[in-house]
Amino acid sequence: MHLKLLLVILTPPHDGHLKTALNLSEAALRKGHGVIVFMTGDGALHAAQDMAESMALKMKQLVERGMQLVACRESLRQKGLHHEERLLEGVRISSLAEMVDLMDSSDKTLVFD
Amino acid sequence: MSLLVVFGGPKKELRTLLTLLSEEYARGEKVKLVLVHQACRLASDKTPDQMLKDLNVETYAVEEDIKEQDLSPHLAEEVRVIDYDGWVKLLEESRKVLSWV
Amino acid sequence: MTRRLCSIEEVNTITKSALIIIKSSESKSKETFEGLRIAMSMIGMDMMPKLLFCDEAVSFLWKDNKHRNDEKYAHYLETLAEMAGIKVLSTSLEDRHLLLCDLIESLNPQVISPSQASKLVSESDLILAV
Repeated sequence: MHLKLLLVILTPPHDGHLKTALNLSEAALRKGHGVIVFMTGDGALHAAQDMAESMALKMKQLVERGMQLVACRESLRQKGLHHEERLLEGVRISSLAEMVDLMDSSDKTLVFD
Repeated sequence: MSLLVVFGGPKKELRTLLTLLSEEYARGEKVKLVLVHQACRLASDKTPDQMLKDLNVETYAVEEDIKEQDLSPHLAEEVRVIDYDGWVKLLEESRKVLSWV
Repeated sequence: MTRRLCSIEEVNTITKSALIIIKSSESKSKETFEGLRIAMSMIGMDMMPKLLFCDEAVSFLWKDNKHRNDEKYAHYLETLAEMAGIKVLSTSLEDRHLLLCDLIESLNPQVISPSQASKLVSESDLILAV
């Protein structure tokens, strides 16, 4: 059985939530499940290129292994991050409408706030 | 299949959360609880939570968070330590999940 | 290649029932605001969420709460109150010595018991706690 997991990040960097979410993603990908990490609100700050190197590297590795990394356009705009050159490689810009759609189609949704 | 609850908040919020799960219990549904971050302290036998014991909730704590807070020597017997692979297995086995992190 | 038009039933329809539990204190107002924004998006996508305020978050509904003059915040709450309805956990009000009359009247909040709240959890496919 392959699950489709949606992990929603609402909190800004440095509170440990992203690290937990990425560790969980890594374990889920190892077992062949699909993982989407959706960053919105202050969580969109994690999509910035100038965030902590260790987290950025881990995100890059997980994206290469199939994890999808998505950020809310409006949240990025509010934080001045809406230009793609300011974002980590592999981040896809989307909307809360898509996130709701993903919540409906995913097998399990976890919110980290 | 069970309801999987992931909890990372303070003790006072756990009380509300467990209250919200009472209907699941009334229906005979199984609830499994994964403690993360600061909530791992609830797994310590120095501050046992009676409500968890009363409801017979199957309780797990994430190994990395237990180690980070140096709680290993103090864990209550009934709490099972899991790694992230174990957490994924619980997700696979659950009917739905409620994350209160 | 022949393409066929999809039937109206095949158009992406939302299938899950959702419950958003607003539980964080005013120190996490940004996360709470995001939770309200998610609720609004759900309505826009025809996923009518149920909204339950509990624990410290009941203070967001208090008449004298510090966000009461924030236009966007007020607009979200009023819209959600009108379209989805706002429920408040009775024990959370009691713990904070608040009564229904202490809450913003125009939001028409419905006070529910722990038993009723736990039914919401049981009946929802998707539960978010912010």
